[in-house]
Amino acid sequence: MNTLNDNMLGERMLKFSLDLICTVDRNGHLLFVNEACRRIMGYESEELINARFVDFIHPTDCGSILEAGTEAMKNKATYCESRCLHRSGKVVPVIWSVVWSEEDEAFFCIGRDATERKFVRQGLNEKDERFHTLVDHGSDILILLDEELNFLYSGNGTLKELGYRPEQLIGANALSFIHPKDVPLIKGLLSEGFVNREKIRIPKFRFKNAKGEWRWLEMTGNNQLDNPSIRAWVTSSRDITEHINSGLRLQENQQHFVALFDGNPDMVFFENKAGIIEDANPAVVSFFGIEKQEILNRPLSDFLPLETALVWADFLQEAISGNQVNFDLKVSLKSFDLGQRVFNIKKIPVEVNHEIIGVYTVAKDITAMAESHRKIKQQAKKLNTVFESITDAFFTLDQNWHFTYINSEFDRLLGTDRKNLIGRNVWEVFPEGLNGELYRQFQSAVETGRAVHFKFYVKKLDRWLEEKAFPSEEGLSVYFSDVTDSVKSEQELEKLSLVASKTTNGVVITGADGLTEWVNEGFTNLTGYTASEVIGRRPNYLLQKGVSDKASIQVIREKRKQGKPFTEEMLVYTKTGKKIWLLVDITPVLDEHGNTTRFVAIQTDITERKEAEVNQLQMTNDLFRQNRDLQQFTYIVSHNLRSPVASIMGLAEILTTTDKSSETYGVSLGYLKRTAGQLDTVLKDLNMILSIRDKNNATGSEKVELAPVCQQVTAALDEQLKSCGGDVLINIGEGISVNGNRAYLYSIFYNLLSNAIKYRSPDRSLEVNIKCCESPDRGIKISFSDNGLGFDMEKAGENIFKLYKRFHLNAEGRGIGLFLVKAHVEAMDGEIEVKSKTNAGTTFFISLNRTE
Amino acid sequence: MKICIIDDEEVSLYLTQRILILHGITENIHTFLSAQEALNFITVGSDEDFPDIILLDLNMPVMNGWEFLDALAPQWARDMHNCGIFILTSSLDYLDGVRAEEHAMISGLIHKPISNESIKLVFPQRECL
Repeated sequence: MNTLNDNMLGERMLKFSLDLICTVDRNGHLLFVNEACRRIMGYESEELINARFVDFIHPTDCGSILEAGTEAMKNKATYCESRCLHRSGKVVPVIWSVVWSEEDEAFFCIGRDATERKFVRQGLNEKDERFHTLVDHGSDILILLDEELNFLYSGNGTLKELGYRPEQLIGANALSFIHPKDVPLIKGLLSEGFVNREKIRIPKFRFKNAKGEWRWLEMTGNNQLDNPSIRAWVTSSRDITEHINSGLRLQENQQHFVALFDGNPDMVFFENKAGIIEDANPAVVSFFGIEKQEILNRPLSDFLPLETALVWADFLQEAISGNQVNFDLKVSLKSFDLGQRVFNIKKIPVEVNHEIIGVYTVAKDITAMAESHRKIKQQAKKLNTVFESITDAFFTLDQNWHFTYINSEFDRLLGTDRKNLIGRNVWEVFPEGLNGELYRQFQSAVETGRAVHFKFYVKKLDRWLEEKAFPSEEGLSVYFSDVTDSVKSEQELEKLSLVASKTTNGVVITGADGLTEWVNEGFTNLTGYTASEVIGRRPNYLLQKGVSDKASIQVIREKRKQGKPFTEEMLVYTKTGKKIWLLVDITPVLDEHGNTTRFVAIQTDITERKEAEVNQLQMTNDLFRQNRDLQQFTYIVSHNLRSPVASIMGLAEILTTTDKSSETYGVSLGYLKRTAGQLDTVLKDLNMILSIRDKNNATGSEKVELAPVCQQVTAALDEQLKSCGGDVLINIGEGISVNGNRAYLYSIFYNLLSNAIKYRSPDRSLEVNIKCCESPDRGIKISFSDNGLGFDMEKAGENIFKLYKRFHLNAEGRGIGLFLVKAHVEAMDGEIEVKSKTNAGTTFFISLNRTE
Repeated sequence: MKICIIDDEEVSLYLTQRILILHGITENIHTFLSAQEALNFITVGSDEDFPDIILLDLNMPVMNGWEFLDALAPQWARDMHNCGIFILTSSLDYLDGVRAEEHAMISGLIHKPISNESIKLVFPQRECL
């Protein structure tokens, strides 16, 4: 093509160009504008020549236009965009390319109507917006780097993942954030990237985050350096630190596992689902003492006895079904010369992709442990049995006073529940013990290290406990038992023995055999016999020495057999021979079967009472006699005294009304005289009786020989005896004498002999026999018998000795003789009896006291 | 009228008799010094000999007044209901009085010496005195 053609072509191109082509001088005045200005801006070319370029530019875009001009003058082609003002006033976006030609001293500007393109750009912007949103909110770290790897752009992901805001990075060099070890790698890869203009990927490198920590990143880079709209490395990174770490961990785990597996002192092996051993650790090998190869690929049951193998299979199945299994297995491994062994077995199923592929087994040989456990258990059980079998309540305390053991007897005695007490402080459980004997004793045991033994009263329970506490390093072991009954009976016994020993009564305890076991001081005081003299002997043997009171001993024997308490009065002799009366309360002591084990006899001295009783009896007798005598006197007064008095009164009456000269007068006077004499006799009798009674009380006794008295009486009545032809035979030995009163004895014999004469039988001559014989009771018994009239014993009865009782009609007796005889006999402490038969005779028996 | 006086005391017997005479009672007085004697007289004799009045002493030897009454009881029960038996005693014993009161055969008790009132008790029909 030639130059003309070229020029022509240029002019034509200017003329037909759709783009606005203009030249602007250094000062911004338009030098030339092609015809396109009409279409784009609504102005003719002529209208624009010499006009200021910027007058047709939107004011806000003037700056960028000027900037572009400046840029272009630096000999750089510049693009810029501005809004131009159309003749109609509308704004027309125009994209400019500006070139400065030094030669022409002018800017060559080409402007293209960008209205169409604007729409396209708008679409692009929207895309861009979406892209930004993605960049801002995504987790990827989006970074743009220039050729020198300086930060051009940093997305929000960087802030989120690495903690850097964009302004912290932009302008800085990326390599300064990268781990020095990874820098060469990066550089190498990037240079490759330059060369190949390819997309590059850096699988991992370390990048320092805002906190200064190294994070592992994975990066993809896209070389857009040549893309004019980007001109950068577009990189997208992900933080793969966790991933890297878990990978490391996995690796670590793997190594751990191997270490655990191979180095485990316990046997570890892996069985597949079929129970075949696929792996076994060295412990297995060394335990069985065979080569590993011999173990692998065989089921474990090959090594186990049948019964254990079956159990094993069950557990294996359970593990395969997904459960961890833990059990103790006792197995006999005699075939391996290992004997009876106990293993703790853990079976752990191994799951891969939700499927169990096999089971790891850890077998720990716990034979020794099991054995020692068993022994400890056995020991503990034995100890427990020992503790429980202690019949005493038992507990142990540690050094802090806490209960460590309590047996069941403890609970039973104290009504506690040991489950609630173990571990608690004894003083917290029994606070009342803290201030008393219990604490002092325990404390003393702990301090001195010596066992203590004491009795202790629990007020709350009203019980006595006997406690034995043994200190040890662990604390205290305490035994106790309920001794309430024994303490109470002890106290009772103490009191009783106090009573028994201090009482003035005699107390004798004899065995069932009657032999004395114990006597008190009172016994010695009463009887004079000491304990040593009487123990082992029968008390009655001593006390009734020489006494033939067999009856009372028999009574006592009989009563003792009945096993009931009884009381008996006994006359006994003291050691010195003194007579004393004892009231003896005998109580048998029975055992649980009702058998007598011993007797307790309590003796009370009742001598005084007995003597008083004797006195009382004497007094009663005296009183009786007095009373009887009084009756006699009453009788005498009412009859024998009254009778003559009545007669005298009657006679006196007659005499006063009778002529003195008459015969009646004389007779009556005679009777009066006689009756007065009678009265006098009665009064004399009474006087005599009273005098005997007085003497009875006052007289002392004397020794009176009997024979002479009888002879005196016989002599005194000799005349009467002779006149009736009576005969008296006295058969009384020489020297036989009685303790009595001579006058009384004379009166007795006189009255008896004169009675015999008075009441003699008219049919035969009187014979009187006076004999003397010994009486066992009193010593002397005299019998006085006659062969006279006698009397009817039945009729006379008790009246024979009564005053003024007569039993014969014609005799001159007054009825006083026998009364006097009896009174005299009794005054001498004697007795008189009579036997008589009518018309045969009468015998009197008189007992008197022999002279001592 | 037949009267029996039984008394072992001679003086008493004499006195009783004299007092009865003094009161004009003189007919048919029998005196006995023992009860046995009187009993014999009454039981052995005929019905006509039954006394109308008996004056009886109590205190006598061998057979006393009470024993006499016991011995006479069969006879008395048969045909002596009209016979007035009076105890004549010098006793002041209260018990004698009580016993006499209770005894069916005894009509009354009179004390020695016999007073006018006693005579009136024994012989109520006599107004002469």
